[in-house]
Amino acid sequence: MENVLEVSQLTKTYSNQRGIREVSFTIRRGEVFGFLGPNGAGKTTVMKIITGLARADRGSIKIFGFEQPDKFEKAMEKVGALIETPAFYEHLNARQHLQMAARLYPDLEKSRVDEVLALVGLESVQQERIKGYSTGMKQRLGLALALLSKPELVLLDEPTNGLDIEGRADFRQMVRQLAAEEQVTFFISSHIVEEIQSVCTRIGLLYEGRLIREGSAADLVDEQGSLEQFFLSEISQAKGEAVHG
Amino acid sequence: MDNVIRNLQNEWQKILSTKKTYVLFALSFLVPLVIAWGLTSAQAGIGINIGNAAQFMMLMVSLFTSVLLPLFLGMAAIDLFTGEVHSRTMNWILLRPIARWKVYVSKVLALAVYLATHLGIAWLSSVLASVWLANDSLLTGAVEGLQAFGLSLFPLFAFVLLVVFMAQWFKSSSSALVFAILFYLAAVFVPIWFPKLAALSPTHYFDWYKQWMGSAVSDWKLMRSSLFLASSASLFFSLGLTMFEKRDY
Repeated sequence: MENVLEVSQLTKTYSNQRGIREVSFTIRRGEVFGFLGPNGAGKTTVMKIITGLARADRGSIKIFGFEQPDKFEKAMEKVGALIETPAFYEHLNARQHLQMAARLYPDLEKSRVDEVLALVGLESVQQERIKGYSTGMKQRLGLALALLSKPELVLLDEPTNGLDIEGRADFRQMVRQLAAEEQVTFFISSHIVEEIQSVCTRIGLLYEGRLIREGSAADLVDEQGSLEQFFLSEISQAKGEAVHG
Repeated sequence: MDNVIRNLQNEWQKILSTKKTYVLFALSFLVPLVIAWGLTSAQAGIGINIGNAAQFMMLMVSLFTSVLLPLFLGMAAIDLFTGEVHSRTMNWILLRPIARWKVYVSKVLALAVYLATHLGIAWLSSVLASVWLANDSLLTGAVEGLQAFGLSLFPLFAFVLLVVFMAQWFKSSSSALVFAILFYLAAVFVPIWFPKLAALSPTHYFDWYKQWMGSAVSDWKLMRSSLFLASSASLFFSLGLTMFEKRDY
């Protein structure tokens, strides 16, 4: 299968000495890759660097074979992303946000805005200003913006933050459907084990800025009986290694 | 360049979507009318000579270029850069397939359109106010005003680029605005004590239109000030772009 995303030796250190160290992994077309790790492990940093929001100190990124940041526009052409809790212009409505984003995809059909509004269940509130939106509604709009361009690779950072039970179920269904029917590749980060286990086909475990394990979801679950047990065992082992040098 | 134009549309839409924009456009329209009303009242009450339309127009150009527009432009520039970093809406555009330099250029162009709109409104309102003043030389005043407001585009745009550059240093828009105001006040008042420093600040050239329109200025001085403004503009543009490109969001 074609490599959609290749990350090699990605390193970034912030002024507080936190960051990521030599993170390398590859995601192939149609995979749903889950990035699992505790808060502060560096998941968002990796995603920000991949999408160009932050610059790496070292390392390389290829998206659909295009080097990022050198070929940023080409690399991001087929990428949709939702990084952190999305922020919007409070005085604009959901439709205006999507229309503004659509301007930057000249080949996109006009009907796509209506399609994604329906997909995330925001049709009835599309004309309301964002300042009246709940956190969950903003998250849905963030998902709509990520899916607007019919991307072939979707990066989602903590995508179910703020979503209610129905929203979470809809999200899982949407990911499975897009991956199975349209071969959309997903890269999802979360600190919630169940969320990753429920949709991901492959998993990477990030701890204190390092990718400490990577493998197929089924294999990792088999190792310890459940992904949660696997997660706790790996983290405990990593902590032990850190203590004993 | 297509993406620059597309994002320019986005930036302009964002500018036009806030109430503040319309309040400031209204201020640009009302200030000449209110001043004209004040002057006619003063003329009627205490017999002050308010001069002709051309003189009134020059008074308006001076007021707008040295006080009102630097403030309006400073706020707009900080909103489009620091404000968007602070509210994290900047991420929204940076995640699209558009290079950072194109985002920067489109934002700067949107500020140029904003500046030109204010100048246009101020000129139109000043012409209307001149008619109200019912003085002579209405046509001369309108034409000279058009020239003066038009020429002011250049030094004020250089000032916009300076503020855009400064906006890259801050994460909070209120800090950036306070700094920009203090910087502007320093640029205005420090040369009173150190006159030689005046020529080093783009704010000193807000009356650049006078050099073009007055006959007493030598070609050499005009060329020197034009080159200074052009080099300041390109320097601040490049420095701002470099910081914008390297920043983490």
